[in-house]
Amino acid sequence: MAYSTEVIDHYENPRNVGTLDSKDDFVGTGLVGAPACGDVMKLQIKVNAHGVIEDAKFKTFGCGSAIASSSLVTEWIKGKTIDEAGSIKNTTIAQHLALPPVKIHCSMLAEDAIRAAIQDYKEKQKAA
Amino acid sequence: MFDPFTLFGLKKQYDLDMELLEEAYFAAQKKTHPDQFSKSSSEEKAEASKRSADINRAYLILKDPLKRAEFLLRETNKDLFSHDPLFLEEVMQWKEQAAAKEDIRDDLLSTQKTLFNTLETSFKQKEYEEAERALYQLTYVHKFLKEIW
Repeated sequence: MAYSTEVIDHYENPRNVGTLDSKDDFVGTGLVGAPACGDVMKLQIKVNAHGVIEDAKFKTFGCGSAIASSSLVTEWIKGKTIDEAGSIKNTTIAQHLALPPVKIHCSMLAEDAIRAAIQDYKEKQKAA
Repeated sequence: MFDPFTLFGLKKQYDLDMELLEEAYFAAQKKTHPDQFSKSSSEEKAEASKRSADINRAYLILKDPLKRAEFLLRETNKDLFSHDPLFLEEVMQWKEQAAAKEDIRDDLLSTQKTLFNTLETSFKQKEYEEAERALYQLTYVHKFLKEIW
């Protein structure tokens, strides 16, 4: 099975790799994984006072598709409101990266990671 | 419904005597061996070969402690394998250590051992949520050990 050029591009030049300060009240952290393939994906967002995501970082240990999916979504969600970001569907990710059926779960992981990061941010805001 | 325990006439539980399983497996496989069906109709032959495939599948599930646990938990719980952020943080750390060429095999092996004990105990005490958590973590550790060995 060959990876699409989009996957290879993100895999070789991943965007937004890194971490944000998880203790910051405006930073939401999503940590998700897939036990069967051993993948683990951390996605962080920094949200400004208007509810807009101004920065996003990720760190993924996994296959090329998992890395590409997380790299791609960090690009997509920057500049979006948290509601817009939360509505990103894994099918859109999979379609954009031309993921084969066996790799669909990687895009699902990226969708889960965004949701988890948003939820973490919201919980922090409620507590603050 | 396909049930590997019933197929071998074994009690449906995590704790399993491997010798007993093997005996049951060979006995069952003997009954479906093609030699026994040389004079049978093609339907009977097809039926025997399907049964033989089921027996192999059941054996592979029961022999493997993780697959056996997963089969049992699927029946008690529908939400198998939801994310466990605290543990994933640990996995992240292991992955980083491995990427930095640190030797973490002993760490992983001792974690695996503890988790197998937890799995066994929680099945015995019917604490299925705890068993599920242990299985989730074991699956990661197992996969990771295979990767770095």
